[in-house]
Amino acid sequence: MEWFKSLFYDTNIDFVGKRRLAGTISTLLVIASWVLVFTMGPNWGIDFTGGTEIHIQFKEDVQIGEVRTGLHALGLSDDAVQQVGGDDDHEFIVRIQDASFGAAEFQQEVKGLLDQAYGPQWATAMHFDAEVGARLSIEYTGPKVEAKDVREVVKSIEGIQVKEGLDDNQVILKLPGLSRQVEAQLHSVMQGKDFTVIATDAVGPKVGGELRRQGVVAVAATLGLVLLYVAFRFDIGFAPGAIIALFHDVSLTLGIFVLFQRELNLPIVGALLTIVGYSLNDTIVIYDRIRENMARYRRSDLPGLLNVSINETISRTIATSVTTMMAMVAFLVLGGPVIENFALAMMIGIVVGTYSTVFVASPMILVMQDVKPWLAKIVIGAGPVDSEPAAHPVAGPVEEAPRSAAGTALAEAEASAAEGAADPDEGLSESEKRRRERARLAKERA
Amino acid sequence: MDGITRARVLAIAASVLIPIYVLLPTFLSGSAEDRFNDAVSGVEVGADAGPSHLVIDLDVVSGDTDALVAAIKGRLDRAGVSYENVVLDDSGRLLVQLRVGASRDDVYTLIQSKADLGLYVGDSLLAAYQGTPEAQLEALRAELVGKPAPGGLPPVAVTAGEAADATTVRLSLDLPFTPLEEGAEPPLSHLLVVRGGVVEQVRMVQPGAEGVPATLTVAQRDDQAGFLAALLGGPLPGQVALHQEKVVDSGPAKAVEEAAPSAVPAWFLKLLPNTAINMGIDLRGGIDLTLQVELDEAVLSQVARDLAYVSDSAAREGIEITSARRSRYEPWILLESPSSFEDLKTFVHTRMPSYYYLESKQEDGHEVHVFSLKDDEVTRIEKQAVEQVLETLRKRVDETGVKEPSIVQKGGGKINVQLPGEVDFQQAVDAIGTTAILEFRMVDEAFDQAELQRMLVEAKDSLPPGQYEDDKLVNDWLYQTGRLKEDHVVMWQYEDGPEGTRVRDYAYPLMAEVILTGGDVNKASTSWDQQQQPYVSLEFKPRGANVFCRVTGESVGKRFAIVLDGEVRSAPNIKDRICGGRASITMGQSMDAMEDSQILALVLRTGSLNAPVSIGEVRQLGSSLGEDAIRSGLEATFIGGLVVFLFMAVWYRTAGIIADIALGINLLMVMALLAIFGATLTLPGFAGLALTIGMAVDANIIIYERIREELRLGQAPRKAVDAGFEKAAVAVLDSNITTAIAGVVLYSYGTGPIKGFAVTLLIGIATTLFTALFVSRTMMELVTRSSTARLRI
Repeated sequence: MEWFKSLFYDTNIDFVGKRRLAGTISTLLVIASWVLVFTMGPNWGIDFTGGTEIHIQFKEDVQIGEVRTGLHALGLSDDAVQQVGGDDDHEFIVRIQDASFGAAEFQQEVKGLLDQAYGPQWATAMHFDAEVGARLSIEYTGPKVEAKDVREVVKSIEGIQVKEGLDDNQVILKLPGLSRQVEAQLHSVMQGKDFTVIATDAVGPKVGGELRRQGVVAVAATLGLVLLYVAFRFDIGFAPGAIIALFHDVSLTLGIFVLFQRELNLPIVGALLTIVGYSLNDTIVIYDRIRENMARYRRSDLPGLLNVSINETISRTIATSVTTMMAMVAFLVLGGPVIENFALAMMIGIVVGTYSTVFVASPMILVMQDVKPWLAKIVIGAGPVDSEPAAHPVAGPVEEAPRSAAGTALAEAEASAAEGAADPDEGLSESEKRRRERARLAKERA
Repeated sequence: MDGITRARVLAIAASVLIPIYVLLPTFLSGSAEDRFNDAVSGVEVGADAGPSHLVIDLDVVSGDTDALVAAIKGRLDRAGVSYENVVLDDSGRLLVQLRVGASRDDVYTLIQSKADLGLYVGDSLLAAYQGTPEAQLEALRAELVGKPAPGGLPPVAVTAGEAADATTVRLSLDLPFTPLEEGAEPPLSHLLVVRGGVVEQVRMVQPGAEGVPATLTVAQRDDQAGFLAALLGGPLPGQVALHQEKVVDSGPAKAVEEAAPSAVPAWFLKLLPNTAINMGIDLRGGIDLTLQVELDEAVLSQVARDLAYVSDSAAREGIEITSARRSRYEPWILLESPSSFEDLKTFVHTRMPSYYYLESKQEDGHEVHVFSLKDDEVTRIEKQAVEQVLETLRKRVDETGVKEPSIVQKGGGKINVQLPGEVDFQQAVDAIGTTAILEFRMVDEAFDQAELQRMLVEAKDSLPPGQYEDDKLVNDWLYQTGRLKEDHVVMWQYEDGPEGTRVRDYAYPLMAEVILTGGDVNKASTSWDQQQQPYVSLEFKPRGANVFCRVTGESVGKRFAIVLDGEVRSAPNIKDRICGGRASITMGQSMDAMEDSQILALVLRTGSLNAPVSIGEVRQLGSSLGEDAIRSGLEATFIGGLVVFLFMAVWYRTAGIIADIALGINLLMVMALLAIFGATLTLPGFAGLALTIGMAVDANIIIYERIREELRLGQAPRKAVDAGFEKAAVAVLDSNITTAIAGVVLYSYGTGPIKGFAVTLLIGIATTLFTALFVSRTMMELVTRSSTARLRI
């Protein structure tokens, strides 16, 4: 065990040195992911598109072909029916994502009945509205008609509701969701084969659109606030790295889901959020070590310092990744169909998140180091952030480091770190020596 | 152990004991195996999970129990209702255990059908109709189908009934009239099939010869043949009454145990807090509906009603209006008038104070004045619309008998309704999707109250208990027995009973004729008069105003009843003839008068304002899938958790075990806080929980790696622990706070499921910080408190 454990300590791997390779790969992967998202498009679940999804289970052996053929009469394509679970489960999901599905038939049927009762000139306009179910508002000519009379006329349509409209010459017809229609059709064509409806999901198109909008707003707001917090607690140079790493992780996970056309539904959004949380957590832990080392090694070079920090925390990175991964494997194997997708997303997220912390978030600090003076030049008034191009927190002694709004918090962290360093214990100066040695070595290699 | 350490240990003990106390109700409700299940509304966790059952628990009032069991089984079989078993429990009650898919209404009809179903011969009615027998039948059918059975029709005894095939029932009947002489043309008789007091069918029947029962073939809708045959198979050999019903999601044997009194003493349960963790619909099965109150339409609908009122009241004010229209999309009324603009403006200002003058424009050479609804009025209508829908929903959902429903108002006119358990989808949507029915009926002041009370006592004695509670059945019984004339109806005022039920308070003898409906009401609101007494002011539309004027003129001194969805809500006295479309209902000076008047105004509006509701989202999950999901979810969580716990113990040894204990306390606290906040645990919530566990493990790993670093530098364990915690605290704090930021954003932007994720995550972060930085540390310090202690890490 000990020799195994020792593998993860006192490592000396040059992570930062591979930043160009990693950067290239990451950029290509992110671009590829977004190309996939925009060309192939995600397999949105009805949570986002609106529509109806019916999960049925037959009691006896039924082939998918029979179900598909049975539903052709409703105008459903073969794609609408999918088999889930094992062959012995006889479970199928019927998914109808077109919000106005069945609208034409419904209008036709209503029109036919109304024409018969009131004559073809009676209805002047029909407006169809898709929600869960359908809503048809009809304007008519002539004397006022009571809702109950119209109901009598169209009563052959099962489940229909009739209301008077706002205006005198308007009635509103409502039809409940599609699920009953599909059930009825299946009952009639699958004669003698009994099935139970396990789950029905129906989402109106408005709700779906809103959900997508909310998701985008939430993610954008999260990224913005995290940017501010990292800039405040650490350094403005740290913030973009954290954000880009997050963006990187979500993009890649999304890309993989699009590539394999896995359905994007609410639980997957939950998983994406979890990945955001996990990746952020991972990044901040390494950032914390970088911040601490920056305060301690006043004259170290930045790439060497980043390497030391990553190497010092590598045992923790591995321990955490391994534990979470083990839990997710349990979820993937035992969790059942609903949790399976979630666990898969999480596993992808763990790999990608750990990678991005080491190879994206940390090297971005270096990139920002180069960009900052340039930024300071073009942004007038950016002076307080870092007025002297050369003076970043690493370069000079703590006392001389330029102070800024962000710098105050940094100073506190430094002060507390300095307190730790000032502990009158022999061992600590020993640790300083070893760390310096390691930093020096790393610098030489760089 | 010094004082400070002792205080810290006590704090840790409290952080274990308080969550356990909070979680006790979750674990103690129900029998041993089912404790957890009940907390998640009866979702079975064990491997021997059976399907979900509705268990109807019946008291045997009379008759032989074994014969009853057989008879009920027979009826359920014939009607094709899917049931698990009908058994007797120890206390002599009958338990009817139904399977998924059985309609509760059907079952009740089957069990209690004795007084419900009858066949009536109506040969005397034939005379009124002309034409061929078929035409006569058609005419009779049109008159009778869907209406209550006419009183005075003699019931026909059914001697046998069987389903001939899927669509036909063959009945043998004893007809109460003499058979004809041989060779004579038999007269046509009519048979009415009555169920639940409503005529369903009109059929011709040919009487057989004397001694030979008449047969009748009744073609039914496919699914009802078996049902009818079951009902006509003869009465039950005894009487049963509903004791209680509940949904149980376990095998039949357990269902019997469930009915036995709980093993936990009542006094102990009383000591427990009123907390429990709710499971979301995605985990426990049921229906989740999101309704959208169409706020724009509610506002436009008010404008439409005001428009109906404007011409009428303008005429009374002496203002001529040549054209009054409303805008299709804006809350505007467009008026054309030959009267002076100033007069028109004054009229609107005084008569329709909720409008302001917007602009005037030329349309086809006419000057059109546009008046718009004030913004605060728009806000008020929107708020009212949502309130009304909520009020109606609560009542309707209550009527469906669903246990633990949740109705939550969301922003933007959205309302989320959750009906857990096995719920009839269509029934729920119907109950929720229809608007309330408001009716005005006259109270028959001539009716003797003592007589009414006597009638009701008789009804109570004659009807099975379950049926006496049904207003409609009581009235049907009163009609059938000739106690009440057809032009009358008895309706009750209800009041709140124990545990959210509604109980009858006071019975009114009302005239059956509905004089006005909700559609005739324009507005209703609450005000105070000079004596500071609250009253409800009511405004009718022109047609309603005319009718009200006539009726009140005829009935001064009498009362009229305001009936909402079949319940009398108020029965004010008519003081004077009221014309002009405005009425006020004074509420008296009682303590509750203000509240009463607000409720009455709301009732009046509920029936009048048709706040349109559309269904934005429906999710239904059979509890079997929920059961599967939760079982495999729990299994995975358990195994996953075990792996993590073992890893920690192996990798960090003593310290790892300490971390495991801290992790256990962490989980306890998260669950307890979820219970205290009444939060609902959903699938995304589970994700939040997974992330929490991940972060809690990570916090410990960060700290321990730090301690190892210190130890490898030669620090004494005590010093290493101190230094490790000090240094790691910053990293733990920062990483958790950053994640908390994401959590807060998600909470404020997200809807239902995303909010659930955020809540769990935020709670988890708080408890992680506490357990990692305080609980773990205290324990680590205890382990290393002597200077010679060795730390295995």
